[in-house]
Formats: sequence, structure tokens, C-alpha cells
Amino acid sequence: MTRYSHGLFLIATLAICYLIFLTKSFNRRFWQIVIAWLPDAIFCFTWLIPLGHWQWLRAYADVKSQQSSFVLMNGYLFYPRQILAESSGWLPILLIAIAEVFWIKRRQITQASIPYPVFFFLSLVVLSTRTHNIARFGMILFPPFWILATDGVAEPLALLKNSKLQIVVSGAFLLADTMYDQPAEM
Amino acid sequence: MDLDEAVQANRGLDIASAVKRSSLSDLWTETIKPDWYPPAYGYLLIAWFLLVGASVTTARLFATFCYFLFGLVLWLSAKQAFPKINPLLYLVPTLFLISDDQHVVNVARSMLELTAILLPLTALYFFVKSLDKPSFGNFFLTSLFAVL
Repeated sequence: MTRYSHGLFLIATLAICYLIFLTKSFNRRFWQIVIAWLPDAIFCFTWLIPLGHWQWLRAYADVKSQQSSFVLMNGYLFYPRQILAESSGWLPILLIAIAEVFWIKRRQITQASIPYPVFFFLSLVVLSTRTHNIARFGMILFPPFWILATDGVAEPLALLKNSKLQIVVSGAFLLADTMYDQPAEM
Repeated sequence: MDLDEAVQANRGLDIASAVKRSSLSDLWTETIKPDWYPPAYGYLLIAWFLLVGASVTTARLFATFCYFLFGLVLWLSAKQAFPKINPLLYLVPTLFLISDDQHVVNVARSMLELTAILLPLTALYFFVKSLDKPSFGNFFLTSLFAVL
């Protein structure tokens, strides 16, 4: 899970996002995107077919748990529970929820708010369907939240008209953010 | 070294050894052999070993180096995603990284995770950048880091 597969669901994320943005930002950029991806497509094809690494990919896809023939509910809940148990998980979620209130109010979302949640969701699905759950495998789930959480701090702060007060409150938040954390499960 | 640490470092050492012997056939064999870790990861590690020398300390420092690099990527990602906000707040994701025990502990153990997370997040950074500036360079860097 933690090795090759980050790249696999990243490519799936990018494929979804390219489809979404082809009609908007990437209008008339289709061939530029195809040419940019061509060397990597050739590399992946060579790696998988002539060099025969497709069999490892297939073996990975077919792998089954040695302990259980069915997926336990516990397995599905392992990573969501990990996210909610750590302040670096639940706090960014709270901040994103705050940011979303502002986005909905403005009826406008930032473009960056699409690829990161898609990447998180695909990662979570792949991780949750594995029966070998380890907390460190779930590390990939956190950074997309951290990036989007930035706006959850910025939006309420923008309501403060005094720029000095904004800086003081930002500084206080950043200090509290660094100092407060609960022990993680290894 | 912990077994996982050793396996991780070994990927770089095998390729570095082939480079030092100037053996193209060994380099090719090491590159294409089935391994837990992708070849690009091995190449990043050999560049590090060839630069600073190969030892337990330098193998662990590679993870630390990636940790700092990841902090920078998070800062850049926040800046790219929300260009109009107070610049001080671009530190929010980086400080979450610093305060997260999982990341700190696994970097201290020189595990692969952070390097593996660094590359896809860099690809996503270039993707978001390409939304703002849809140039060939940004599309290419997105694809490069995604495949790495």
C-alpha cells in the first residue's frame, strides 16, 4: 500500500481532475497535456509491458488477506478513526468546514479545493479496503487537509478589519497549532 | 538499523554501488529489478549517498532532508492554492506537519513514507499551479512527479 500505490491513485486523481478542468481552465490545452504526459506514458508502458512489471501490479491488485475472507467494519473505520483521534486530523477538518461555509456563502469555490479532496478520497478508499492497517500508512491522508485548512483560518481572519490584529491572531493560532498535539498511535 | 530502514537504504546502496563501479549493465539490472521501492526513489537516494556518503546517519538524514523539503512543498502549495490571503498563513500546513507526531516519528526512523508522500504532493502542487498558469512546463512537471 505505501509503496507504488501513492502514484497509482495520484494518477487516478489527476485523470479525474483533468476531465473536470478540460471544460474550464484547460480549454484548448488538450494536446499540450497529451504531449506533456507522453514521455511518462511511454516510460510506464515500457516499465509495465516489455520489462514485465505488470505482473507485480496484477499480484498487488489480487492480493487477499491471509487472516480473513471478508473485510471487517473495523478495517473501514481504522483510518477515519485515526484522523479523528489526532489534532492534526480533526482540527484541519474543522477549519475546512469553516472555509466551506464562506465558499458556499460566496457561491464560489477555489479551484484547488477539487484535486486535494479527490486525492484524499481515493487514498482513503484504497487504504480502507486493505486489511493490513498501520497508522503510518495513513500519513498520506493528512497533508491535503492541512493545505485546504489554510483557508479555514484565512476566511474568518479576513473579517477583522485591523491588519495588526489579523497578524496577532494569526501568530497566536500558528503558535497554538505547533504546540498542541495528542500522542499518535504508532 | 531497523529492518524496514535497512531495506529502504539498500535500494539506494545497490544502485550507488553500480554507479561507483561504472557498470551500466549492473545499473540497468538494479533499476529494473522488482523491489518494494520504485527506481526513481532509488535514484534520489543514490544522488544523496553519492553527495554526502553512505552510512546509517546519512540514510537517516535523507528522511530528514525530505521532511524539510516537504515543509517547503506544503508552504508553496498553500501559497498556490490561496494566493490572496495573509502570507503568514501559508505556514499553517507546515506547522501542522511539525506538530504531527506520525510524521516526526517516521522521519526520525528514516522510513520511506515521507519521501513517498512528498512526490505525489509535489505533483498536486504543479497540477494546481497549472490551473493558474496552464503551460507545458507545469503539465510536464505534474506528470513527472506523478510517475516518480
